[in-house]
Amino acid sequence: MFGLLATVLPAFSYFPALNFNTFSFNAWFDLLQHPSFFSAFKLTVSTGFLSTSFSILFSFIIFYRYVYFKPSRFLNKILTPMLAIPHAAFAIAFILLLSPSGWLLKIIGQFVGWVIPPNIVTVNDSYALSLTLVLILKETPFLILMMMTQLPNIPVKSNRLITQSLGYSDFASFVYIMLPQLLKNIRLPIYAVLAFSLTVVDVAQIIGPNAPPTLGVLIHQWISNSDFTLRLQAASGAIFLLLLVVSFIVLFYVLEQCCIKLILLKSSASKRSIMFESVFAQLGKIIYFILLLSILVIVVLILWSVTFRWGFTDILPNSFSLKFWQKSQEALLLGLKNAFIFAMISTVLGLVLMVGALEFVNSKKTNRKYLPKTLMYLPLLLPQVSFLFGFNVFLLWFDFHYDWVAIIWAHSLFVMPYLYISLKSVFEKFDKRYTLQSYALNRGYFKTLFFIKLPMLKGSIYTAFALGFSVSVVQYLPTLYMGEGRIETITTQMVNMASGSDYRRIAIFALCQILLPLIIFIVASRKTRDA
Amino acid sequence: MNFKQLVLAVFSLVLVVLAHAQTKSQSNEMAWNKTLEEAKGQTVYFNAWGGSDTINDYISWAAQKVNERHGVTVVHVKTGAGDVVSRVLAEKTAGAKKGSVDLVWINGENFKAMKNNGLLLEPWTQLLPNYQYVDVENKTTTTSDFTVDVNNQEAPWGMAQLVFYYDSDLLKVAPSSMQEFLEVAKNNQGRLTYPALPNFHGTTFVKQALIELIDEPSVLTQPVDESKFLKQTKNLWMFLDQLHPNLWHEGNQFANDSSHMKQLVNNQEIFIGISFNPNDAANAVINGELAQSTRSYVHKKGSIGNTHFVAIPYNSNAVAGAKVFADFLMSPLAQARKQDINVWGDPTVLNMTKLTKNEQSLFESRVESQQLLKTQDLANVLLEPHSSWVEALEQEWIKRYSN
Repeated sequence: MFGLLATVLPAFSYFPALNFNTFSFNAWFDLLQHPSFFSAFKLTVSTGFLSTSFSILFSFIIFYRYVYFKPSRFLNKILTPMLAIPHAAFAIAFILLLSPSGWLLKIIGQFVGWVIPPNIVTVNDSYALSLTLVLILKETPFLILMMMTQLPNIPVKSNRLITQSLGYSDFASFVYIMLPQLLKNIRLPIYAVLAFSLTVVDVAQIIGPNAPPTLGVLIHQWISNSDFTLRLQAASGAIFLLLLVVSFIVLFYVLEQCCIKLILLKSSASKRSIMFESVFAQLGKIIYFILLLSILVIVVLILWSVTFRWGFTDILPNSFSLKFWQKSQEALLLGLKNAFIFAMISTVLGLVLMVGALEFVNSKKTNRKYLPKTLMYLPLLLPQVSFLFGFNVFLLWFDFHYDWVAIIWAHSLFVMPYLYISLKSVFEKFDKRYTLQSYALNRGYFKTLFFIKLPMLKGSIYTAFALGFSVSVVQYLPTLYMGEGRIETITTQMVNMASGSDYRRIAIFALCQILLPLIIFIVASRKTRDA
Repeated sequence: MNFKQLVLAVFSLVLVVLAHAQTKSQSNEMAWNKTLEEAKGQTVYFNAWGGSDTINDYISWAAQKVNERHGVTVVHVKTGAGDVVSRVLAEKTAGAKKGSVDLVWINGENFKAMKNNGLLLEPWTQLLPNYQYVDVENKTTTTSDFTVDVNNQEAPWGMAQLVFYYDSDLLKVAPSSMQEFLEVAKNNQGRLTYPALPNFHGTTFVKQALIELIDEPSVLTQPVDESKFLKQTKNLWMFLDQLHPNLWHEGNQFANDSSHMKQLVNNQEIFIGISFNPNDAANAVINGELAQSTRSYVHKKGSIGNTHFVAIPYNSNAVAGAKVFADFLMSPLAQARKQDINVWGDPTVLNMTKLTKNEQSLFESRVESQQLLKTQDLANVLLEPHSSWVEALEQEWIKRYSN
């Protein structure tokens, strides 16, 4: 809440620390008149729209192929690496693979006879297409994961049987029956993807354009500029971005409703099959591309981490060295340990609070639950920099100095929305007959919760935990601000290294950043399968 | 008054002055001893950019030394000056008594912002024993940081000068002026670039071009006259308009920063990199980050030089400890090690003639490197334009090339 206030006030030129004591719209004029504003706005809109739409499309296509034709745990396994790779590490590795001097182009160069990297544009392009592609590749698995947590609520088998017996093709049954249900249930994850792709800073800085950059990066530049008056413009930019996210959410809500209407209309037109069915079924194989890419990403990082020099014409490094691993050892252990502790505590804490909140909300049939719910989304919707500035001032007011508690609190703030979106509909859709039965057998509320309900929802809870854990691991700004830079995690170390030029060290820290989420996702997918 | 009396009067006056000077230096010494006493046992949080291994290693060496000598514990907090400025501002906003930063690596725009907003400790560097060796006479940027008066609120740490490096396997002859840079760009389509403004190195590249191309260089020492700005900078924009279509990504995109350029040069995507450290390329070759064929150069007209500093925020918790560490960083021992290209290669702020023979010998280079520039190459240091030019140039550049 305070984070929002600290963004809103400066947006209207109120910032006492800088001697701005009167309200005005000047910051808005400055924002709208900034020469980069309009182009940055267009870039942001196209990135956000395209990456979200394609992620939805691909996730449905893949989900269709694997839920109808293959056991779903196969899907779980295949998605794990991509889910576990943090966005920034993925973007860096994407450059190491696909830039004109990337590994894949080095390999192609062997056959084509390139002596130096070709003069072509593959990353950092002016249209932010490489940025969009990176976001699609990262968000598609996330949406599929979110759909899979909905599976216990949707009777896939019986749906399929019924529609088959009515003579519908598989794809038609998926579109007519599954799609509307899924769309409704993954609404919140879709909004999270929207908010993320519209406001993302680190990935856009790595692989996006810079003349001009996207709005998120532009705002970040203003807020970190030593000219403090730019903070006012940054604050109005942050509010603008927030409004943009909200209007996109409305747009996607409308689109969703239209889709559902359209589907219902079609389904009642008694068409039993849909054109290009086999094409869609084949398209589901995109997932192998995602899997391949996630493996290549890890391999190229491993290669760079043991490189001393690696010239363009060589498929493998010219000279190897383990020196950089040895040098990093101590720092890595510390960073991993801290990241693990923060992630564990903040996720467990978040999970307890969230289960409590969901239980509470579901037990009361009130409509007043909207306000706290919307507030909880703020950390997702507001650009982190401006939000955290306010949050930081708030903590300082209470003379709250750098410590673990502040970091854990901040991490929980960003972890909880993700826990919420992955658990909300699972909890709401939970079949009440089970709990009623338990009550009828004279089991108390807590016994019912802990022995009946939670065990039945184990799969979704493990997934939510893994997701929350990995969200905590990658938090950079909250760790930096709340820890005053004094407490390092693997992510702050990675960002430090990435601000330098040494690919070998960057690769080492990126690899270790992947490590923790990877382990947790593997464990979670094992557990989910057992459940 | 007779002659005798006059001599006596003058003599006693001289005595008084001498005695005063004596007590002053004595009191300085006493004050410094008191600072050393206070510093013992303090922990200094030193906030400095942490993206380079060589620099991080140097800082941890210095931290260890100052701990052995004065019992001060230095913790390297790896964040850039931009973050620090932001954080100290947040602390001021909240009225927090205890600050989180004790010492910060800083210069230029960030220093100006902290100074103007009262976020720095009152003048203090004149009291450091090693400050007397600083070459304030010849290295004018040690007292004037991007034309902003340093006012003893930051201690000089190292000298910087804009230099270029290139891969001599790919480029036979290095350009010696901006005009030649343009020629090289035309002959090597898509192989040159510079960082997008408002990046610090990008802005410096544009300033360098402006200094080389402007008809009347004298106006650069004055604050920008907005009514004349476009006319005065006409040559610059003509030059950039010609240059950009020949650049990397056809000038639609630029490098992110100098680190990004180093990666691109290392990968042979581009041919020329820029740096503020004249010994950067030499150090990077030793470190394996650049090819052996890398060479450094500067333009014939000379290049922009400045100084980087360490400063103490107004709400530091360990002022004495921070002063002791800043003093150590200026000591001949620390400065000599810093200049060694095997360590970091960052040029010293000290004046060699003020040092003893023994201290001077610390600075003798023990390494031969083909990447090193000769002293005469670096002799021609161009001064930064008046600080108001930065904003004007950035705004105009963004208007033209980033929309």
